[in-house]
Amino acid sequence: MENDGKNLDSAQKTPSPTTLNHRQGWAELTAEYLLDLPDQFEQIRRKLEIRDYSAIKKHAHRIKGTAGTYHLDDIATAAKALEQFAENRDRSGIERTLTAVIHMIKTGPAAQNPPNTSSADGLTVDVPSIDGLAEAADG
Amino acid sequence: MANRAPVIMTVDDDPHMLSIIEHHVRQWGYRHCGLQSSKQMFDKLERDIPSVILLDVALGDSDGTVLVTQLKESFPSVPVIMITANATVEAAVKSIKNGAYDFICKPLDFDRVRIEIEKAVKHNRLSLQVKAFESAARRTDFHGMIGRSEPMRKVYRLIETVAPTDAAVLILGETGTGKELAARAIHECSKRASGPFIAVNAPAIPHELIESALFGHEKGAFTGADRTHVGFCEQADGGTLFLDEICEMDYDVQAKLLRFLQDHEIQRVGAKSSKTVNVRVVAATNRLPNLQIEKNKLREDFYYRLSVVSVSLAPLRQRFEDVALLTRYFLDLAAAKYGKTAVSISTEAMNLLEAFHWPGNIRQLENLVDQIVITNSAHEIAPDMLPAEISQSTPAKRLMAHSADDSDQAGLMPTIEEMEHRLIRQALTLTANSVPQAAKQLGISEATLYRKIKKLGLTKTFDKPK
Repeated sequence: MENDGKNLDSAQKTPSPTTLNHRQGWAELTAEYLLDLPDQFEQIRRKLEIRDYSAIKKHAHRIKGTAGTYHLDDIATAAKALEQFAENRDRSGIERTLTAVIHMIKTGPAAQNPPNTSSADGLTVDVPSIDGLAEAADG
Repeated sequence: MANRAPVIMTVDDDPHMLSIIEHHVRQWGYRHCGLQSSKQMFDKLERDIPSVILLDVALGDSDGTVLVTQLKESFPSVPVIMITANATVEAAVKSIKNGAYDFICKPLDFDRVRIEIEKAVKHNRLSLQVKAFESAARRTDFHGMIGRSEPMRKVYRLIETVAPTDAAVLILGETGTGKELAARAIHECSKRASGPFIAVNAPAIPHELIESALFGHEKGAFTGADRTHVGFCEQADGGTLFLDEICEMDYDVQAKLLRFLQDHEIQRVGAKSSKTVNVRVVAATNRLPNLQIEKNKLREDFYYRLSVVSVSLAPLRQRFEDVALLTRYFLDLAAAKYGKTAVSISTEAMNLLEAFHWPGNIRQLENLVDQIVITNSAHEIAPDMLPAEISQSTPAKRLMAHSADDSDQAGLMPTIEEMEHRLIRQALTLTANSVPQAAKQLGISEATLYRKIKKLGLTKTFDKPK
């Protein structure tokens, strides 16, 4: 009989109630954080309007650390790019990154690496990739 | 039951970071306190001290690497773990230089955070223990001895007088009165203080090994002597040899030690020649030496050689005013030993301890305090936590317990007046200074009790009701 190992594997790895609670708690906290993130990036956009690069840098730095801890790697990468653009006082870099990251959050975790264009609401908007932006910020 | 799990304080200006850290920290069995600014942190620290602080380097209102200096100055026992999203060598070096316990980078790897917190909690516990032991050591009244009662002050004065001489000292006192502490105090006050202090409990050493243990042996002196052994008398060269429980020593061992006391020469078993050593001998017994001489348990010549000066340690029941001092000292020590927060004692419980007759003396009190601290989580010791023999002890029972004491013990027999004084004081303590109740307990009339209170000078501690 062919044994694909599935049953045995799942029996061995059945998580304890504590682990389940832990995972559930983590998932709930991540969901809360994701809900709050658009507002945090909106605050950065408002700081950009008044060209407060120092505040943008601080804010982006904070998101970088927290998003990474929540294992939201693309958000953390975007925040790192924002921090770098703020350091360089690169307004357009910040704008492009904000557009990309907000799009990414709105389209859900499955779309964390979004295509370069989006046709939501019948409009076609250029959405740069996070990886490309991070490279640009580093460059 | 109060939760005594260590508290981890996290200071980070991002509430989402606080939430995820709290989620993990609680999962690991700790309590958590999350704060978003340095002001909140210092406000909280005025009331509660955590076991560990996780501090973000880039706090919105301040620089964490500077804050850590302030924290180390004000709370040196609390390890501060810095967390940062900017992992630069400079920041890490600056933090550690300023007193941080460790430095962790964001994104946080919670496996590492857990290990670091565990290490830091242990570090904190150890620091607090060391601090408590140091503070306890500072609080002793005389070279590790505790007590401010007149009998103890007399002992301190006598030790100070006799210590600088090389005279042999015999310490008398019931079991648990601190005879070894007194011997150490004599050593520490002597010109031999920098030399060794060797304590020997001879009755605990098997008969066939005692000579070799005291005087040493040469390699090959007997079967099994595969190497040379330096005996206690030689180990104490330049210092003090403390011989405990001398009345329990074999008669022939006493004879050998007597010779050693006379000529200060030792000869290792199997050695061809003897060697002179410079040793001061302090001995102790919990028996009445004269009675032991009569019973042929103690050689008279050995006793006279040892008792050039005698120091008598009063039993705890004859210095009840030291009970509170000793109890508080042992409470602090026990809290440190068993990793508990400070434990106090209620007035009622202390009254009961002070009124007890303590047949096992200070050692019994120390053991009791240890036992209470281990088995209770309350911050204050209440009367119901005390064993029945103490909480239900009445002056009459105590009198009987004292009368039943072994008359062979070295404690000084109190006079009738002293016994009366003690009984009346205990009765008043137990009845919260109620003369009618105390009189009833003692089986005398109120008028007689008032007269005795006046005669014995108890009015200073007792306020007669108007």
